[in-house]
Amino acid sequence: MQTSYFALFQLEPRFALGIGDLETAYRTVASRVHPDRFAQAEASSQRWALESATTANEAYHTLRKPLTRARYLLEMRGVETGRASTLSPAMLMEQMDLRESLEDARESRNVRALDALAALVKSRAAVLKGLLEIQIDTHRDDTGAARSVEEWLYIEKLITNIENARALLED
Amino acid sequence: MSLLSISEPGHSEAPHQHRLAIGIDLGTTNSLVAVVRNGMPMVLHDEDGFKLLPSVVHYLGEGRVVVGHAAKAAQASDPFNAVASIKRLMGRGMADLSDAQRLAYRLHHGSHGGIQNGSHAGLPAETKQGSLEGPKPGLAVGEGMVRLETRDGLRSPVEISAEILKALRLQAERALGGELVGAVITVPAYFDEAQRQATKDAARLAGLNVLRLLNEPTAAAVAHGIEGKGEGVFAVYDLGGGTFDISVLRLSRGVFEVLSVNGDSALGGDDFDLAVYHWILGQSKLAEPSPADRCRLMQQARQAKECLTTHVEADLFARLNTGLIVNLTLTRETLDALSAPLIAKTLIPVRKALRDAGLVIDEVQGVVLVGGATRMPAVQRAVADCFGRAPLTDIHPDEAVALGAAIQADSLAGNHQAGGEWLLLDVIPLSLGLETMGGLSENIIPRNSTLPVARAQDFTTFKDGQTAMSLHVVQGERDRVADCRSLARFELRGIPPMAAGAARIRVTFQVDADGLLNVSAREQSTGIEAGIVVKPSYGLGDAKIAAMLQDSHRHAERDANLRALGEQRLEAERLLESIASARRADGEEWLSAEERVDLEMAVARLKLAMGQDDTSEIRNASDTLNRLCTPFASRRMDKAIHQALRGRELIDFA
Repeated sequence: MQTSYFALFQLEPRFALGIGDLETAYRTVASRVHPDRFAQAEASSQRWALESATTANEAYHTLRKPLTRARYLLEMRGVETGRASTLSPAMLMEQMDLRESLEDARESRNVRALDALAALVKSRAAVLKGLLEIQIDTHRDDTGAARSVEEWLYIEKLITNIENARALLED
Repeated sequence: MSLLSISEPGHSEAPHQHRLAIGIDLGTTNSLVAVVRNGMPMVLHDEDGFKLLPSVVHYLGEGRVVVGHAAKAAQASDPFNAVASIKRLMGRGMADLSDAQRLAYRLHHGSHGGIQNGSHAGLPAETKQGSLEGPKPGLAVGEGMVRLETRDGLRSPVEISAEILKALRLQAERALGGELVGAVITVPAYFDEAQRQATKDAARLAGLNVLRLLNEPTAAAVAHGIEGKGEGVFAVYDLGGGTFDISVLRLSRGVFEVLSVNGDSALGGDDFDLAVYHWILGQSKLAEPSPADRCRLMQQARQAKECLTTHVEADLFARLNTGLIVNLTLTRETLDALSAPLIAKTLIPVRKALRDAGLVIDEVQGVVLVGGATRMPAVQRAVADCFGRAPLTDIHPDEAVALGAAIQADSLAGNHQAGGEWLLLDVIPLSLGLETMGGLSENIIPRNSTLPVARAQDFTTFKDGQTAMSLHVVQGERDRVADCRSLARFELRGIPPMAAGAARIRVTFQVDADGLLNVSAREQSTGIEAGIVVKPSYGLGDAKIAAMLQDSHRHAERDANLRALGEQRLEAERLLESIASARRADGEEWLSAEERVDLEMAVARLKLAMGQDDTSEIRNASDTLNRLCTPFASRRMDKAIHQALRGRELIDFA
C-alpha cells in the first residue's frame, strides 16, 4: 500500500505547487514521525518512525525541486524520463554549444563569462518550468512534458558544472 | 510515549517523573556536561567548582587514571602518559595524521595484536538479523585506528575518550543523585562515520546509554534558538580546539532545519598554538626540542595566544631541560599575522556551505560563534567581515554546545520539551558512495541530505549460480575511491543461485538520525534476505571483538546478563501495556479476526517467556509481537497523521 508523495502531504498532484503549503505540511508530518519523537518507544515504533521519516524527507525533497517534481508526476503517469533519447537534434546542438562556452570560460578563468553563462542557462530553466506547468497541469501532454524534462536534465548538469568551475576559481 | 498508545509526542507516559538525561560536549581541549533542571539548561560544576574539564587523561600505572586539571598539570613532566587532544585521533589511522600530530604522541599502528579494547561492548547483541549496526571504527584498508603507548600499555583513542566520558558521567551522577536515562554526546558536524562510530563506542565503554549523537553547531543553534526564539537563517561558526565546523540552519516555527554543513575536522585552536610554537622555535633558533620541552613551549604558546585576547602583548618564558632560557614577547600583530592563513582556511568551507544551501551571504540573519578559539579578536573580525554583521555572543561560546545537548537529551528522555515543541532536522555531512569499476566512487547519498535518509540500489550477479558479492562503501566528495575514506566492505552472502544476471539484489543504505549507516539486502524475485558480513576497512572483525569482550568483561558478564534480562522485561512490559491500551482505545477496529488470533497467541507466548526469566526467549517473543503489531500500528498512525494535517490533535485518538 504505497501512498503518493502528494497524498502523504495531502496536496493535489499538480506541478504548480505552493512551496509554503509543502513546507507547512512537511513540518507537520516530520514533527509527528521523526525518530526523536520515539526515542523511548518500543522497537516497532522506532522502526516505523525511521521508515516514515525517511519517506517524508524523500517526498519533501522530491516535490520541492520543480525538476524532480515534474519527473515524479510523470512517473506517476507511467512515463519514464532520464534516458536522453527524446532530445531533438536541434537541442542537442544547442547543448553542445553551451558546453563549449563553458569550456572556454573555464580555460580562460573568466568568472564574468561563467556568471553570464549561468544566467543564460538559468533563464532557460525558468522557461521550461513555465512550459511544464502548461504541459503537465493544463494539457496533460506527457510526451511534451517528458521532452522538457530531458532538456532540463541537461541544463541541470550544465548548471552543476558551471557552479563547480566557479567554485574552483573562487577557492 | 509509544506508537501503539498514540499520545502527544514529547510527553512521557508518566508525566510526574522527570527522567534524568545529560548533554556532553566532548571537546578536543575541554569537555562539559549539562542538564535541564526545572526547564532550564545548565552546565554542571565539579566538586571544585569548575565547569570545564580539561580533556586530558593521565595514566599513572597499575591501572590508575586521572582525568582533568591534575592530568593537564602533569603534561610537561610526563608528556606521553598525560594524553591531550585525543579527539583528533578518533577514528583515525596513522596515514590520516600530520607529522606534527605524530610527534606529539607515541603512536602505534592499530593492527598490532594483543591490545585490550572493550570498545565494542554489546555490539554483537545489537546486531540485528539481516541488517547491521553500521560498520565499526577503522581506517584505510588493513590498518586500524592508531594506538597510543602509555605506562599502562597500548590504549586506543576510544578507550582514552571513554575515560573522559566516565569522569563526566560520575560528575553528573554525583550532582544529580539519580540514575541517568542516557546522554546526548556532541560531535563536530564534519565528523565522518568512522569518527562518529568511535565516539559512540567510547560512550558505551564509559557506561553511557547514547540517546543521540548531535552535531555541535546544531546543538549551539538549539541553545540559541530556544533562548532567543529567532526565526530565519542562521550560520554557526564553530572553531574548537581541534575541529572547525560551519552550519547553515533555518529556524522556522520550532523546526531547526540544517540546510548545509561544511568544515575541516583537522583544524582548530591547537593549530594556532602550533603556529606560535613554530614562531618560538624560529625566534630562539631551536631545532628539535625534547618531548618535555616541546610540551613546555606549547603551553607557553597557548597561554600567550589566550593572553592576547585581552592584551596587545604577551610574554613567554620557559627554562628548557638543556638549560636554555626562552624569553620572548609576542605582540597581537604578530599573532594576527601567524593566524591569518589559518583563518583564511576557515572561510573556504563557509563559502561552500552557503553555496550548498543555495544562499548568498546577505540572506543570513545572524552568525553564532561557538568554540574557545572564536574568542580570538582576529577570528571575530574575520567572521564579521565575511558576513557583514557582528556575530551573536549572548550565550557563552564555551557552553552553548553542552546546553543544546542537554536540551535535546531532556527531550529524548521523554520529558516535556523545554521551550515549547520543537524539532531538529539534521543532515549527513559527507556523501556516501560505492566503489564501481575503475576505482571510481558512485554517489549513493549526497552530502547535506536531511536525516534519516535511505537509498536503494539494485545489483545483479555476473556468473551462473553466484551466491555472494561484495560492496565497498566510501565517504567523501572526490571521484576516485582512493581519495575518499574507506568505510567498510560489505559481503552479501546467501544469494539464491540463479543464472547470471537473473538475480535482482536490492541493497538499501539507510543512514539514521545519528548519521550512522545500516545496510540490508534482499533478492527481489525470491524475497530472500541476503546475509551481510561487514569487513570494516579499519577496526576489528567480529571474532576479535568477541574475544576482547570475553577478556575485558569476564567479571561483568553476570551483571550484564542480569541487566539485559531487566531491560528486556521492561521493554516487554512496555510493549504489552501499549498493546492493551491501544486495543482498549480503538484497536479492535484495526484488526482482522485472523490478526487478532495471531496477536493473542504472541501475547501469550511473551507472557510465558517473562515468567521464565529467559532473556533470549523474551527478546524473540517481543520481536515477533512487534512484527505483528507494525502494520496495525501503522494503520492507526497513518490515520492519526492525516487527522493532524486536518488540524486535529493526535491526543484526540489516545
